[in-house]
Amino acid sequence: MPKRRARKYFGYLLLVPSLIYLGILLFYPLAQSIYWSFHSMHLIRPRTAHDFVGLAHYQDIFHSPDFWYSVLNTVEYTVFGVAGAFLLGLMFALLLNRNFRGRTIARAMIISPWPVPYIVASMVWMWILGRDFGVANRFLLEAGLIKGSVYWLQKPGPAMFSVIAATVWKEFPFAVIMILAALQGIPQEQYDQATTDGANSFQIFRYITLPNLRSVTSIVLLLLIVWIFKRFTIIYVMTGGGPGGATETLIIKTYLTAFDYLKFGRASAMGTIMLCITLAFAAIYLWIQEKRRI
Amino acid sequence: MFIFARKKIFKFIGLYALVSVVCVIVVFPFYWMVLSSLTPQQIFEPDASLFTLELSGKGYIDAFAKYSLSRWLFNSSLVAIASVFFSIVISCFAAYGLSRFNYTGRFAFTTLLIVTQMIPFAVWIIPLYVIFRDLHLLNSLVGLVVAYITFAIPLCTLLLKGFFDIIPKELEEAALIDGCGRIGGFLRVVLPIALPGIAVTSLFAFLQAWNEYVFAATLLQNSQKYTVSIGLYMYIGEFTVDWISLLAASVVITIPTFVVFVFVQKGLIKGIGAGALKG
Repeated sequence: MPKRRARKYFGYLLLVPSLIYLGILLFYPLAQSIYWSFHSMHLIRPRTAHDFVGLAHYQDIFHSPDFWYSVLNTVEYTVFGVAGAFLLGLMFALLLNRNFRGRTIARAMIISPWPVPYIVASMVWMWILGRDFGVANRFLLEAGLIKGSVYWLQKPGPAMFSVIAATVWKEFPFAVIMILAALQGIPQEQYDQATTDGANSFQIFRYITLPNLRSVTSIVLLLLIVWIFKRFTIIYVMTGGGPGGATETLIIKTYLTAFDYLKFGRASAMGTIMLCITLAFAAIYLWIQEKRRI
Repeated sequence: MFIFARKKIFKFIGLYALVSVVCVIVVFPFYWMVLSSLTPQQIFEPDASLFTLELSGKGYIDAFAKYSLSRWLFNSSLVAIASVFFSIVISCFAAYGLSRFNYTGRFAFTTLLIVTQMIPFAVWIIPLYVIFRDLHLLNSLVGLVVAYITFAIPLCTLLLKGFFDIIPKELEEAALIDGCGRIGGFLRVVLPIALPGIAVTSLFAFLQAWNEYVFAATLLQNSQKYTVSIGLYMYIGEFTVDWISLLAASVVITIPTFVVFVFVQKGLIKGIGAGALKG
């Protein structure tokens, strides 16, 4: 079967350009980064001075309280970010799943934060949460909910709250889109049947809507975790990881270690740790996808 | 009957009230951005109103006149269009291969593309910075294009594969019989039909490149080379922030993303579903 074989080779041939490209620009650098994580590598030192240090970077990192503080921040940021984006997404999707006039416009408005550049989202939220001219403070003061201006981005607690709020605003449209698509895929007969059987709206939600959403829920949650875990721009722009490291997540810490302190070896080790966490999530994601297909 | 109707009306009003409240909250940051960009000075006064009709375009004039916004817009367009073009060409091959040929490693390659999109850039940008430094690609738009193609390829390949999958195979088989080669069949038969899909994919890749911030901020150093997303930083001075111009510039750079958004809305679910869109 020479023709069949030729066909097969043609199929492989088509993958060659992207494999070469990704190989040189993605996999080689990744391997380089893992290699550096075992070596002493400082950006401004000459290239020859890379000594093998074994697991020293990893030991240092795991013994530094700063690192565990940033792990804690990452968990806080990811958990609240994901929870916020998912719950808002679910609520808005349920709302948009109803039949009413102007639904198309409402949907467009609700998912409108999706295309906005992260940098613009960050700047606008900084403007809203500004200490002196911010509309948030002005509104809360007028409503009598606060006594003095809140230092949204200058105090640890409010700063974490602010970056999470901005992140949720930017991320929830994704959840809306995915959940809405799943809701609209539920066969109408199931609802009709339930109504005939005399189910009330809570029962319909509990026994028809929710079970149908189970598989999309796990996918959406997982993707939100993977993304928010590595979200960078909003925190970097709004607080730069401050005040005093209060919003410094793993990715911010890795980036600052590399490009502020020029400790490329140590930063590579942190990056490798992040890579392992990501791969674990990726494995779960692929497992869920596989289960869904069957 | 009357009670029933009244209940229905209440429910109806309740739904609209809820939808309106939700929309107002979600859209408020846009409203505030646009309004602030149009009302120089007044917005800083403590009693400035949430609604005002005394608008002025001064912020927009300053945004262009005092800063190199037009230069950054040009750079961003150039980088986005170039990276979209090259990634679409490379991805078309791979996507067609994945869609039409059944061979070992196909699943592995698809999985690889999905996982690639989840990798935190921080692991990648550190070695890339050093490689680019050695190749003298730092502070160059070419370097930025090279980097953007890398993360556009997985996205474009997965999206395009979906579009190729729905084109019936019989079409190329017919072309093959008519004497077109494999490549001829692809170019003359499949590609024209897949054009709308390619357009949607290009728009996604464009959006990704236009909105990108981290690589631009790390790799570019000279403000003449900036793209829009880091150009915004130039409005922030050492002691003061030129907020009005900054917000005006934000509006300007957000407009193209909304235009793209209108066109891709229908393909959005598919695009987002294609294994995790951008990061």
